[in-house]
Amino acid sequence: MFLKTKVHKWLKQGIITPEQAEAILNRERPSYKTPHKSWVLYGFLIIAAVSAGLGILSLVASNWNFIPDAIKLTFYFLLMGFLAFAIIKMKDNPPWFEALLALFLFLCMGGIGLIAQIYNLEGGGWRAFLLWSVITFGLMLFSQKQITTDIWLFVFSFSFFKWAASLDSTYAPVTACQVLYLLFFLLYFFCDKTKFFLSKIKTLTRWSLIMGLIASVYLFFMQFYAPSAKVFYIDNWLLYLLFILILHIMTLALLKIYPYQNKIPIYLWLTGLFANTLVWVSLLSKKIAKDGGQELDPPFVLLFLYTYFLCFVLISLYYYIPTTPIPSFIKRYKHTLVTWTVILGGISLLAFDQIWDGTAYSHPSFFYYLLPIGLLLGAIAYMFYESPYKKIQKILLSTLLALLTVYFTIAVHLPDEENFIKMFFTALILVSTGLFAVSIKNYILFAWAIIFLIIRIFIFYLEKLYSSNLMGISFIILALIIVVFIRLIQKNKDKIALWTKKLE
Amino acid sequence: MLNQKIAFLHTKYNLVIALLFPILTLAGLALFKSYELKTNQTRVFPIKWSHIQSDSLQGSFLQFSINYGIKCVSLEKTSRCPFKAHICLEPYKRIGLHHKPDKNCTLFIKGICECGLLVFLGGEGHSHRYYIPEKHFNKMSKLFKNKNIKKEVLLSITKTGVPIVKDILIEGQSIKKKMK
Repeated sequence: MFLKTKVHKWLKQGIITPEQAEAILNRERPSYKTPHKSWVLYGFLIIAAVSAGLGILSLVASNWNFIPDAIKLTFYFLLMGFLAFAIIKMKDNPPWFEALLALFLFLCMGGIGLIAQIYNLEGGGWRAFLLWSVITFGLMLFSQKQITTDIWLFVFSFSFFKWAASLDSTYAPVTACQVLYLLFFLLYFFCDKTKFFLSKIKTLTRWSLIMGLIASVYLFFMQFYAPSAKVFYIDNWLLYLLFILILHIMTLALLKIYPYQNKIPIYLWLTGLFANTLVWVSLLSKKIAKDGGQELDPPFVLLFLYTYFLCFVLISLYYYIPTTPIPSFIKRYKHTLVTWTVILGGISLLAFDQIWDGTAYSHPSFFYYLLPIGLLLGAIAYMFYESPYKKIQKILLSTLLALLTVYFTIAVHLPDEENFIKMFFTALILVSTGLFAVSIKNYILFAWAIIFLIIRIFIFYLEKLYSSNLMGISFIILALIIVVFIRLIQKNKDKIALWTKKLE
Repeated sequence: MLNQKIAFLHTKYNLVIALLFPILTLAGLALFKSYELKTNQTRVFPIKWSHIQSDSLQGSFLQFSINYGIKCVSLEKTSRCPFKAHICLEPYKRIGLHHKPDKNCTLFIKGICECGLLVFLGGEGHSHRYYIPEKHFNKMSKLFKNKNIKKEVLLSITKTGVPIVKDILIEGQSIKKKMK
C-alpha cells in the first residue's frame, strides 16, 4: 500500500506517465490488478480467528490440571517438531513460511510458560522473555516480515532493560537504554554498509528512534519518583546533561541519515528533547529536593516553557526567510518545526492552567474544559472551510472529534460501575475511526481501529465473565457470530460496495 | 561475494539449526528442572498471610507470603532498603547481605529485605502464588479463610538459593489430597 501511494503521488507530480505507473504496480504487486480486494472482510476474519483461538485456549486452561505433566510436555515437543518440519518444507513458499515461523516463535514462548507452570518456576517475566529472545534470534533473521523483527526487538529491549534494572547499580537502567540505542544504531549501520539482512534496515531505523525516545522519556520520568521505589534519580545536573547530550546528538546523527519522509520521528525527538531540557533546567535551578520531592517551581517552569516556545517561533520564522541557507536534512522538516511550535503553544497554555491553578487537579476549572472544546470547534471550522474532504467525510470526522471530546471530558470521570458506558463510547469512537479510514482508503488506520476494537471488547468481556469455561464458550460463540456476519456481508457484497463508494 | 554470503546464511542447514536450537534448549531446560526438583532439598515453612482469588484473566490462585522465621533488622544500617539478602539454613539459621553466602553455608534462600518492617522475602521479593482448579475454588476459599487451620508451604530449594513452591500443606496434609 505504501508503494501504491507513492506511485499515485509521482503520477500527480508528472514524474511518471500513467503507463509507467501501471507497469510499476503490476510488477511489484500483482494483487493491485484487483484493487477492490475485500480487506475489510479480512479484518473481521482475523477477529473471528483470534476469538476462536482464545476460546479454545480458555477451555484448555480451565481443565489444565487434569492433564498429566509428562503428556503436556510430550505433546508440546511433538507439535514443535512437526511445525519445524513444516517450516522446512514450506521454505520456498513465503506466505506459509512466514505464518508457520510466526506460530513457531509464539509457541517457543508458550513452551517457556509451560515449563515454568509445570515446575512452578517464579522469577519475573523478563527472564522468560530474555530466554525467548536468545533462542529465537536465529529464526528472527530468517523472517522477511518487519512485524516479526519488530516484536523480537521489543521483547529483547524490554527484557534487557529489566535485567539491567535488577542489578544493584542505580545508573544501570538508564545506561541500558543508551546501550540499546547505540546497539540498534550500530546494527543499522552494519546492515546498511554490508547489505546484510536488508529487510531489517527499516525496522532497525525505527527501533533506534524508539529507543532514543524511551531513553529520553525515562530520563524525564525517573526524576519524579520517590527513592523508596526501585528507581533512580540523578541529582547532578552535569551528569544529567551528559546523558541527554549523548542521547540527542546520536538522534540528530540518525535523523541526518534517516532516508524516509515520515515526520513522526522528528515529533518524537522534539518531544524527548523538550522533556529532558525541562528537567535539566529544573535540576539546574536546584528545585528538585534531595529527599525525592518533585515540586517544580511553577513560575520558573512557566518562564522556561514560554522561552522554549518563543525560541521555536523564532527558529520557524528564521527558516521561512527565503534567503536563509538551510542544511538539506533540515529543509524537509521545515513544516514539522512549525507544527511543533504550534503544539508547544498548546502545551504552554495547558501548563498555565494546570500549574498555575492549584485546584486544577482535583476540581477541573472552566478553562480545563474550554481548551478541548475550543480545539474541537476550531478543528471543525477548519475542516469545513479549508480541507479537501467531502461532506460525508467531514461529518464522520466531526462526529469522531465530538465523541473524543465527550469521552475525555465526561466519560473518563465515570466510576468503574459504568464500564458499559465507557466501552460503548470507545466502541463508537473506534467504529467512527474505521468508517473514516474506509472513506479515505487508509487500510492501516482501519486495521488499527479494528485491532483496538477487538482489544476493548475482549477487556470488557473479561471484566464481566468470571469462569474460564464460560469465557471459552463465549469466545467461540463470538467467533461463530462473526463468521455468520461475514457470510451475510459476502452475500450482499454489491450493495456494500455501492455504500462504501458513496463514503469516498 | 556479498550475495553468496547472504545465500549461505539462508541455506536449509542453517534453518534446521535455527529451528532445532530452541527445541533442544527447551527440552534440556525441562529435563534439568525435572532433575533439580527431584534432587533439591526441601523445607517446610509456615504461611504468614494468604489471600485467595479468582478472575477470568489470571485464573484461581492462592496468594501468600512465607514466614521464614527471621528478620532483617540486624542488616538495617548496612544498606539502603530494599536490599538483597539471603537466609542460610544449614548448618544453622542466619541472615546475611547479598545473594552469595559464605562457603560454610550449604543451604540458603536468596531474597530481599523490604522497607518498613524489614521483613525477608524469598525469591524476587514478591508474594507467591499457587494455582487451584476452578472447581475446588469455593472449598479452598473456606479452608484458607479459617484462621485456626494450620497452613504451611513445602519449598524445594535449588543449589543457587531459589525457593520453588512444591506443595501447600493444610494441617500437615497436601492440598492435592484436600481437593479430592
